[in-house]
Amino acid sequence: MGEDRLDVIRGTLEYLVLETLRGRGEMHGFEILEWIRETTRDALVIEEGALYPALHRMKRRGWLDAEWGISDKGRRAKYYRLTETGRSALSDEEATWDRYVRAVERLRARGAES
Amino acid sequence: MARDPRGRSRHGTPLPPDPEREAEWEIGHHIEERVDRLVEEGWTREEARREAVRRFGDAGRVRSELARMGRNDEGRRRMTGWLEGTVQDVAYALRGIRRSPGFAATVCLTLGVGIGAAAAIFAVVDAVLLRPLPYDRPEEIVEVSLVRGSTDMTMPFLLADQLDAFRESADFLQSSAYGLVVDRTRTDGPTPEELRFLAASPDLDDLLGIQALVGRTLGADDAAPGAARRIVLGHAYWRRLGADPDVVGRTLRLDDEAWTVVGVLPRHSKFPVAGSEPAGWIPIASDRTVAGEPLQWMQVVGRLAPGIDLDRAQERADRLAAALDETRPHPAGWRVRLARITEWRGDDDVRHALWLLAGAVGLMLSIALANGANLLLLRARVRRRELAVRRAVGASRARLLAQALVESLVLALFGGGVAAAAATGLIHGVGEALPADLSWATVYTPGLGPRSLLFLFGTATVAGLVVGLPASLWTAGRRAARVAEDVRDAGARQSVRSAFAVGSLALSVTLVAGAGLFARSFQELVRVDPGFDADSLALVHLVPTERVYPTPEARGAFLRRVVEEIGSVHGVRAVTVTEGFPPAAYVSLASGVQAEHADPVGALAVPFMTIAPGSEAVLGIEIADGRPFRAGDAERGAAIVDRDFARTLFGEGSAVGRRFRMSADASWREVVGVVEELKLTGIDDRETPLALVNPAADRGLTRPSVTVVARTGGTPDALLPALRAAVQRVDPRQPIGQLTTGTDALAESIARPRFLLLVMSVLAAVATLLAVVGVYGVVSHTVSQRRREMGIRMAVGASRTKVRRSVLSRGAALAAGGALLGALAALSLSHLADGLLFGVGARDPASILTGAAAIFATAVLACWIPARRATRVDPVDVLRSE
Repeated sequence: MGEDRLDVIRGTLEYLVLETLRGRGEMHGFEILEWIRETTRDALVIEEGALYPALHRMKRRGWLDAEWGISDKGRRAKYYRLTETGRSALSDEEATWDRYVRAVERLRARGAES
Repeated sequence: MARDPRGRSRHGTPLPPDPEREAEWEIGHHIEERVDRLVEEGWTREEARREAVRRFGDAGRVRSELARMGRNDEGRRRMTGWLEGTVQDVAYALRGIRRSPGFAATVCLTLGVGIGAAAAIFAVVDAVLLRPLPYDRPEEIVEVSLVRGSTDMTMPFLLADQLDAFRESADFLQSSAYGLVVDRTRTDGPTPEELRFLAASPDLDDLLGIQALVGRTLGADDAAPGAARRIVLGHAYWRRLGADPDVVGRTLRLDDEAWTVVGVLPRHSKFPVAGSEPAGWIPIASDRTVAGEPLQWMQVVGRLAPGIDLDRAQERADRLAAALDETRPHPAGWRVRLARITEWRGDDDVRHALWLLAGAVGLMLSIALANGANLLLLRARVRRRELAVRRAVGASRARLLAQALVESLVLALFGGGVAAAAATGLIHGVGEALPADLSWATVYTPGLGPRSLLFLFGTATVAGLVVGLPASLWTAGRRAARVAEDVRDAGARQSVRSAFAVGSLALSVTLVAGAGLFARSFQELVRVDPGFDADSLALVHLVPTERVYPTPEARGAFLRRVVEEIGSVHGVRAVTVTEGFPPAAYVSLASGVQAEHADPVGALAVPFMTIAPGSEAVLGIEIADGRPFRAGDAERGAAIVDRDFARTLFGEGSAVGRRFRMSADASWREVVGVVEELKLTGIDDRETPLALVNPAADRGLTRPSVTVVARTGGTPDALLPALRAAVQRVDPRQPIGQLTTGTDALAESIARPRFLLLVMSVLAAVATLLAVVGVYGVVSHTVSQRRREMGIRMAVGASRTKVRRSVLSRGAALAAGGALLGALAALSLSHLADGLLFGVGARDPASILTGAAAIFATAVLACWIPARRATRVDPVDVLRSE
């Protein structure tokens, strides 16, 4: 996997995470991943391990908050939540993300055709 | 939001101990969720696990990437979360204090006593020496003193007819002003009251930068000759009058004249620095009169011109003196000496004594710190399992170090609270014992003000860090794995604790030796024969009002009536009047004392008193050679002198009948009697051993202030009220300066040595207590550590005595080390007390040996308790418990 493509994917992934968390309160990593997978109907194949560095980077930027808690299965899990900074980052850079959104739409469309 | 990964989340979930663990947890959770999902889809658990790991990708790389980011985050969080962490540490420390209040109390008391004593001494040193004088840029203000003739003696004033010429030509001064302390009797109070005022030029307040608290200060209008009598009240006297904010316009009657109050001076505006605070400031008129009376001289102060330092100002003053001697010669000459008014703060002896005490307090504080450090080390050892567990679950060394330091800081700050209470008590006690010459020398009253509190809590903070450091380093330095392996480590620490104990003992030896030194010095002082019998004397100091008794005859008549009236008081056996009763004798700065047919011996400071005939018997002065005074002696120029005076002037052989004069233009006087010794200026005075007694003139005494001396049957204290009543029967308007006993008056002259002795004794006692507690701690800890060994030894037949001896010998070794080191330290520090001692050398071996022996004995005694406990060990119990 070349660096350029990874960057694209990483950026996309971050956007997807922000979108996912918008209005959905706290989610742990697995939930986020499954949500994206289900919503994009498996069109976007994410290497599962890549999600976590992305989450941590976003947390460091102040876009996300994280907190350890107990999942409904009684496991300890780390929950992520969108912060105000994350919310405004999302809307501020909406235009920048448009390109990716369209790409994702195309991907989704293609995914629906197959 | 709890972000600290080593606390608990708000959901009560235990948080991962470190970034690595956190990454593992998070990845682990993901895998488990994936496994669940795959199992739901029909995979076997084993296959699901493999698949989940495969899908996750390179878990190892992700884990280390997350951990790296987490560690970086932690660095940042350490900054932002510092406060949170500190709050937690403080909470932890407080829990610790609640868990073992005895330990906490011991540490707090140990530090509190040390810091409290340090703060009390600081308050005194600060008030007397350190805190800047309350004037505008005080270091620029100089006092102008006249240098007398060819001698180096200076007098702190200029003569009135020199003032204008000096002020006009002294261009090295930016501005100058003058004043003079005068006494006035307030006559409109319930009883007549002798008060001290500062007569001041109207520009003195400007020069000093003093502004009125209420109303205004003196102005040029008030100094116009013949102006209405106006007064500005001093702060202390205003408070005594009830601190009335509407006091302006009120009148006071001074010497039966009405003075109108125009203002009040602020607190700490005492001027001059030395002496009691004036009740108020009254104007010196521009014609150099105070209330119409011309002044002969005045104290002059000036502010140095910009850019001119003291040395250059003095050079220019010398040049000015030479010029004025040419153009306007004056009998007193024009030579002046300039000195900063900051020099007014205490004399060299006062400074010496205070710095010595500060040093002694420093030693005591070191003992308190060593003890505190020892206690915390001991506690760190007790807690080693807890610490090991916390290290094992990932608490970092820095974290544990910080926590241990916060804990000792919290303890030290509680100690600061104890210290504040101790200091308040001590300052009160010290203030009571503060010798008059110390409290006179300062503008400020020692107290626990903002500066002392800052010092106190600053010291407490530093103490907290210093005391906590050894234990913290030990705590943080321990590896988690070494929980059980404690023996070697304990040995090293034990030796650190022993070193602290020995050091404490050594320091307390120096303090005990110091206290012993001052005790011996004080004993010598008390033994000094003042040359008269002060016991059972009652003294009444009077200043017969000049207005009521303007002539010597009137004063004489008044005093005779007072003597008669006091003589009739029941319990009084004999009465006389004197001037300059010891230790407040007058001192004559004689420029050319000379025996007849001999060369002048040069300038001498000669203390003298004047007594009415018959006083020798009342005072208990024994005439060794010659006779006492009799009527007509004053006119004849008779004198009684002490052996030193006689020897100085006439050499060996009888001085009776020989003649001398005080200066070339004085008349010849004849020695009629010689006394062995007479301590006129106080029994601790080594500098001026001479004594001269003048006979009172037949018509009475001539100086403004007299002392009526009554020899009582033995209880002078009880008679003082009766004496006051007797004076008031003669003249109800006559103020009474001071009523005291001969013993108290003499004691005042040894107030400073007594103060030193008192403070040193308190310090030595506290230091001894602290050091002995420290040794006790070390030895009893050794005993508890060696329980097993002792149990076994007793099981195989060692006698109790033998075991006890082994414990005691451990204590004795520490005590001996401390005593020896302490004796050496005392020997090398003793020269610091030089000049403050009386009749005993600073290297007094008795004091040092006594100090060392006392500390040795006390320390060994303190080990007796753990030694006894050691022999109560039941071997079976010990062996079973292992």
